Amino acid sequence: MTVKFFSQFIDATGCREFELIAPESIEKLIEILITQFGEPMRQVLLSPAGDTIHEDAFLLVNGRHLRALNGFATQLVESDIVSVLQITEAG
Amino acid sequence: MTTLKTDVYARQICMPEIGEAGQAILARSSVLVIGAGGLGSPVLFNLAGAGVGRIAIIDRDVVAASNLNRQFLYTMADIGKCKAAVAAERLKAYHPDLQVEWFAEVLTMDRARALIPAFDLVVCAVDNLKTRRLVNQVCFELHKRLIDGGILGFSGYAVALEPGKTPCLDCLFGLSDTPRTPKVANSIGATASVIGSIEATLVILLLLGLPNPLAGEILEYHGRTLTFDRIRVEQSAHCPICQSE
Repeated sequence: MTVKFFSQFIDATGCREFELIAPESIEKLIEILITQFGEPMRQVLLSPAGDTIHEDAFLLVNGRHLRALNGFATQLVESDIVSVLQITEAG
Repeated sequence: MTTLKTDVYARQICMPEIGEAGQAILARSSVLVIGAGGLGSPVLFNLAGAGVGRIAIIDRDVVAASNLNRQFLYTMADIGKCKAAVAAERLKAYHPDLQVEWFAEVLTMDRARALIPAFDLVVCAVDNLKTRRLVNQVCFELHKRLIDGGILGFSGYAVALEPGKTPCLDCLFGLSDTPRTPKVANSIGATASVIGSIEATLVILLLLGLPNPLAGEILEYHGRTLTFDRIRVEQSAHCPICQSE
C-alpha cells in the first residue's frame, strides 16, 4: 500500500510517499509511521494523549475521511492509498 | 462597452476563453467574498481586475500591523480601520464601475442564509474552520458554488465545490464542532498570494462556464518544494451536509 504525505508531513518525514505492506488497520499503520519517522511524526500526527489524530491533521483512505470510515479500526488492504494531511486553516 | 473599459480589459478580451461575450458575463456576475485578509486580498484584487461586476466583502476585523506582511489591500495608514470598508474603497478606486458592498460583521448562519442567495458564487477566505463549516452548510443548502482556500506557513490548499456535483468541505476535512486549540497562524504573503490567486482563477473559470479543474479534488501546495499535488476525495456516504439534500 501507499502512504502519501502533504504539507508539514513532507517536512516531518523528508519524503512524499512511503510504500509498505498493508498492516491490518489504521491504528497499526500509525504505529509503523511513528516507528519509521520517530518523534517528529508522533508530534504532528497524534494528539498529546496519543489516542486520537492530532487536531491539526487528518487522514483520507482512498479519498474518504477517517471520520466517515471506522476511525483507528479502519481496515486496510494492499491497494489502499492513505493521504496524511495538515489542516491549513489560516487565511 | 466604452473605449476606456475596453482598454482596461483588452488583454483578457483577446483570450479565446473570454472574448467580448465572456467579459460581459463577468460584468454581470456577483461574488460574495468572506474574509478580507491574506487570501481575501489577492482574491478581491483579482476579481475586481478581471471585471467581475458586483462584489460583496464580509470581514469584522480592523487592520493590524501584523496583517501587513500578507494583506496587501492595506497600508500602514489603515491600521485600526475597518478592513471591509478599506477594502471596498481600495477596489472602488481601482475599478470605479465596480459595484461593491461591505459588511463589518460576524457571519452567522441566519445572515449567511439571507446574503448568499443574492450572489452567483461564494469565496471563503477565512481563518478558521468554524466559519468554513457554516459557509459550507449554507452553500450546499442553497446549491451555491463555493471556492475555499487555506494557508499555513509555506503550505496551502484550494478547492472548488459544486453542490450536487462534488463532495462538500465536510467530506474533505471532516469538520466538527469540537473546539480547537487557539493558535497564532503563521504565513507569508507569497503563500497567501499563490492560494488567493488560485481561488480567484477558480471563480473566473466557473463564472465563465468553463469546466471545474478541481472537481472532487483538493489542490495541495507545498511552498518549500514548490510542488502542487491533487488528492481525489470521495463523498462521505453519511455526510450530514451534502448527503442530506
